[in-house]
Amino acid sequence: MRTINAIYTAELGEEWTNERVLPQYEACVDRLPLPEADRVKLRDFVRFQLVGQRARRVMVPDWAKLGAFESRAAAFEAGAEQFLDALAAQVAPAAEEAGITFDAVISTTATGNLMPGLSYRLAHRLGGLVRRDSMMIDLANVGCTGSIKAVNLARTLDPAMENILIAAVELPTTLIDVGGTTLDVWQGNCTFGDGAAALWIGVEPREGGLAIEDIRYRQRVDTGLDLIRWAYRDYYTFALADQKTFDENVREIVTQTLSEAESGWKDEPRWAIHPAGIILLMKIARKLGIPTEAIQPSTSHYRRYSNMSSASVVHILKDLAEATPPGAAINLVTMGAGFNVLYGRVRRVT
Amino acid sequence: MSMDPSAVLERMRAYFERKQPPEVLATFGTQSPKALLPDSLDVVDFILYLEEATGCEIDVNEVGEALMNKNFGELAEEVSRRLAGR
Repeated sequence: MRTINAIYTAELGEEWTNERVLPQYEACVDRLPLPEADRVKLRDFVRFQLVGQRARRVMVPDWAKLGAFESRAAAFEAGAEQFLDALAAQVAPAAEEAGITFDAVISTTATGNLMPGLSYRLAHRLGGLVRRDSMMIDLANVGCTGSIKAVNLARTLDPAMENILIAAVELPTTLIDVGGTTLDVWQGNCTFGDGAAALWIGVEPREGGLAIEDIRYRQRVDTGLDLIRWAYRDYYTFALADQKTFDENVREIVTQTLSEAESGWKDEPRWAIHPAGIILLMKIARKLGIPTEAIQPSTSHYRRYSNMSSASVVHILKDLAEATPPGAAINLVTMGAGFNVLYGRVRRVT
Repeated sequence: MSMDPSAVLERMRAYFERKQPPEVLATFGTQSPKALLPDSLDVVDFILYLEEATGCEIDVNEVGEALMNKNFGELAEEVSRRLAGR
């Protein structure tokens, strides 16, 4: 059985609280070429999205000035390089101390495109810790489920590949579009923050490691293609189906996925849940009889960092793992574009 | 399902029974949701409560404007209208 031997997180960029973001966004909405009634509706929507205490990290120095493709793609690359520096600085000493090299490097991002990919750039920083014959894979366009998909992929690789490094790097603030006029673009503007994380997956359990007991995957391409997707202006923009369709579909798919998981999941008090749509999460938790406290780690993460796409669930898992006694399990739930939901369960081994 | 505004308002008020002082509850209809629900999770919890209390699902994006700009009396009217329209 594969284990998550270590989790590394990177917290970079400037902190922007709702209180700080809101006046800037309101000024942008005021400049949009909209009929007054539509402007009022959009402004109220933004105010509602930014109610209360919440923050996000922003890697882009001047996000309001992001323009066409070139500036956004360059901002993604610059931010990704900084995240990779921060992750490599943590991974390298740990791998050297353990005396291992990585047999594979898998990267994931949903918020930008690079060539060469993130896996090569990370390997470059790790020098001899990634061998010439190591496998390099870059997962793209995988949405918020990317990191757990990568864990699932690592789990299914040949056990001869003993040590696998996964990196999730997300810079959704490079997609902030203050010239957009639709509610879903502004929902994206208000929801996301930047973040990155890495996981060392092994076959030998190590102290503090998490055995990967189960990962279930459910995709619903029959009804889910339009639930979350990119739309386009000068760059990619965030697009959602209408709220009712979105809520109904997501609730159904999450409920189905959990019902197919191994028995006993409901009894676990520890949950690392991707922080997408806190209202929806709370509704699902109530429907499934999951105690409200179970989603507290996700809501705490969301308050502090907002939604970091595929990096969020790894941050939450790291925080939970540190407070989990040996033998206890943690449930993983993540969901995103496709539409798909992944459920997993890991257990602290020592 | 229908519920008149005063019944909706009464259910809303019940949510704040042990959370707010009597003087606030006495003028509940004129109080601002923004002031009594300062945190986004407070808003979520209130909406989930309201769904249970009215037996009807509430689209937060539909009532978001009222939550931001209106008082509880006006919000109760808005919710009552939406319930009647289903």
